[in-house]
Amino acid sequence: MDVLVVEDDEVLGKALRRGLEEAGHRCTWAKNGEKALGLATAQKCDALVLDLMLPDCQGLDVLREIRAHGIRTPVIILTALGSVEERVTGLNAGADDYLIKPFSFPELLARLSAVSRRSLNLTSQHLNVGPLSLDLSTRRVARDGHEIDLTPTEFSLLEFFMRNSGQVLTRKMLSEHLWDSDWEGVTNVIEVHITRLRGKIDRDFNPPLLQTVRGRGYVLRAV
Amino acid sequence: MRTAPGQIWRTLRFRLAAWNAAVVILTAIVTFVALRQGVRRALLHELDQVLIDDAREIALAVASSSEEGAAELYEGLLRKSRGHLHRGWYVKLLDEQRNQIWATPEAGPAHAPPLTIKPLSPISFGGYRIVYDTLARPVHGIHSIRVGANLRFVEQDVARIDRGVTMAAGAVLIAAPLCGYWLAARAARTIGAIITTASRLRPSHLDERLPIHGAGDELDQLAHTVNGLLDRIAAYLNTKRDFLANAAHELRTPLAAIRSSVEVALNGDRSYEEYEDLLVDVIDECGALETLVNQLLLLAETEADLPAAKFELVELQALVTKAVDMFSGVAEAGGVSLRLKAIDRACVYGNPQHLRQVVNNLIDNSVKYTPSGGQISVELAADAARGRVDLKVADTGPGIPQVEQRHIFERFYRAESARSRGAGPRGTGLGLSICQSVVHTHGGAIECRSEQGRGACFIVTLPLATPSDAADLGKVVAVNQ
Repeated sequence: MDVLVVEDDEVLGKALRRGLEEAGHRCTWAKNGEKALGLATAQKCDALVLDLMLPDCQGLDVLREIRAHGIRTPVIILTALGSVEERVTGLNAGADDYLIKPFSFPELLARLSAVSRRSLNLTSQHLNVGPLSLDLSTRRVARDGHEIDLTPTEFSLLEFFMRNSGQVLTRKMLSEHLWDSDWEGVTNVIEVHITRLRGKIDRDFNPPLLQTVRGRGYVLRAV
Repeated sequence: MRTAPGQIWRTLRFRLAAWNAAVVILTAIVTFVALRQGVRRALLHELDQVLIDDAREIALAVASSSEEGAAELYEGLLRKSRGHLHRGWYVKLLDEQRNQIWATPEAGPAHAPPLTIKPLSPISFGGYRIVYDTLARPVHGIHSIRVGANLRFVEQDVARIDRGVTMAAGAVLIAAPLCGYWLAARAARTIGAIITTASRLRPSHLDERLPIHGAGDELDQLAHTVNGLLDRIAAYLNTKRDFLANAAHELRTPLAAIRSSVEVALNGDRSYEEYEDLLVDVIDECGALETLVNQLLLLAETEADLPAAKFELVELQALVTKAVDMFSGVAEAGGVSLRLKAIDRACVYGNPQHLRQVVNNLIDNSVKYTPSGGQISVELAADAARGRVDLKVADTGPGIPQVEQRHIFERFYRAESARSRGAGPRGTGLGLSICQSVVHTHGGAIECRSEQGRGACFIVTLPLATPSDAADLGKVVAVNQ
């Protein structure tokens, strides 16, 4: 995926470019709104990561300009302002998603692939990751043809992993997905649910699919 | 008191004095004028009575005098005129055509008064007060008489009063502004003291209080009110100062951990595993920083006291159900039974993110402090009749000692029992104060019931949404997608 990063902060921009490139994306880094507008209107990118506070203009103006040109490239906004209104303003201006600083890098990757997938309109009733299959209409899960019984929370968790297979998902993303809650406590409320899910989809099988990535989160990988 | 030069008329002292003087002077003038007029009228009335009596008496004397007694009559009248109380008194005896037959030496007005003059009704004419009377039958050719007195003497009396009045008015004119200014200055001195003290006050120097004179008047009340306000501001600033210091201190800990991890990592060649270990520590500490910063922001947001703008209808039971689900895993892993004892449908008017934090924080606390084998029961009970809903989170943990209960809602306060508890991640010490702040901005109350060794129970009471809240929004915002 070609990603255009619009970010004036040197350290964050550098980290974003390196991270995206290491994740297998091509990355162009624009440090101001004017350059960003030129690159975006050239339609050379598949997704845009846009900081809202730029040295020469407001990120939202860049976004409106891009949309006014009829360009529908998915856009993820980065900002330090996180209130509900600001989020709504951003989404109304034509953003596809919204990330509040500080954010975790896996979350950005996951959201990037989510918005590009959304723009491709790939939705299916059946999800398959390696030996795992999940049917959204009948809510049945099977591994290697063996049916697995899951609680609603576990089902929702697995569905999220399968939709983002190969992608590291952070605790925050999982918690928001399950309980649409930005739980700000220190208690790790996800871990136990992961352990339980693992017990059902991995314990009796080989190889393990749901892996812990230290310091980052969890990933479901079809080996 | 500080006043710009040339602007003395803008001071309260000046304006009070000016108004005071104006009112006093006006009152004095009106009083004096009324008094003078009253005295004048009284003098004139008295003169009229005398003249009428005189006219009657003379008419009677003329009528009863004999044919040859005219000289005796005139002699009597002359005597009367000489000894009369009123100076300038005269009498004229008139014939049928009102021509003079006889008169006293004092002549009366230069011209004859009009013929329309009525008997016994006094008029002023030609500087005289005149009374006219007719005889029932003529004697000595006398048909009528006219009695009068020179008005000059009445006017002289009035003029004497006028002089007195003018002098008194002059005295008032000088005394009133001076007295007014003195009185106003007395009142303004207190205000001046208040201004001087108040202008010395600074956020860094709020110890001083306005002087109270003990008169119990409005100025004392003002000083009391301002002092009360200053007390509250000082207390508030102290809280803020402590809060800032505590927050900085709390931020320092994860920051120090990050710094040392990175410094250690940069300090020489290490294996991949060692680097990974150190970086994971850094990420963990970043997480701690993030949590703290987010909680501080949340606290600032709830304290801004304008959250009503973001209020919407929130289905509390959905929040509670989700929170119980969220913590069920952790509870079970810790050998604690977390269950919903009862749940009513309860709609409140509020900020869903903030209310969710309250529910989550309370359950999180209970899960943290309840040892294996314990129980946590969550109950949401709506009381429609009283328009309120109670959320109870009760556990069978060690409870909170009485001495600590008073402090648990304070920021950054961690109960001894929480500190010494080694296991589990260290909390920020803000959870319960966030709960309290949120509950208060929602017009509710939070209370802790606990006895040491017998568990703790937190009860949050919130007002149920009223139909008018619903009408405001016209919709229920679903928090339970």
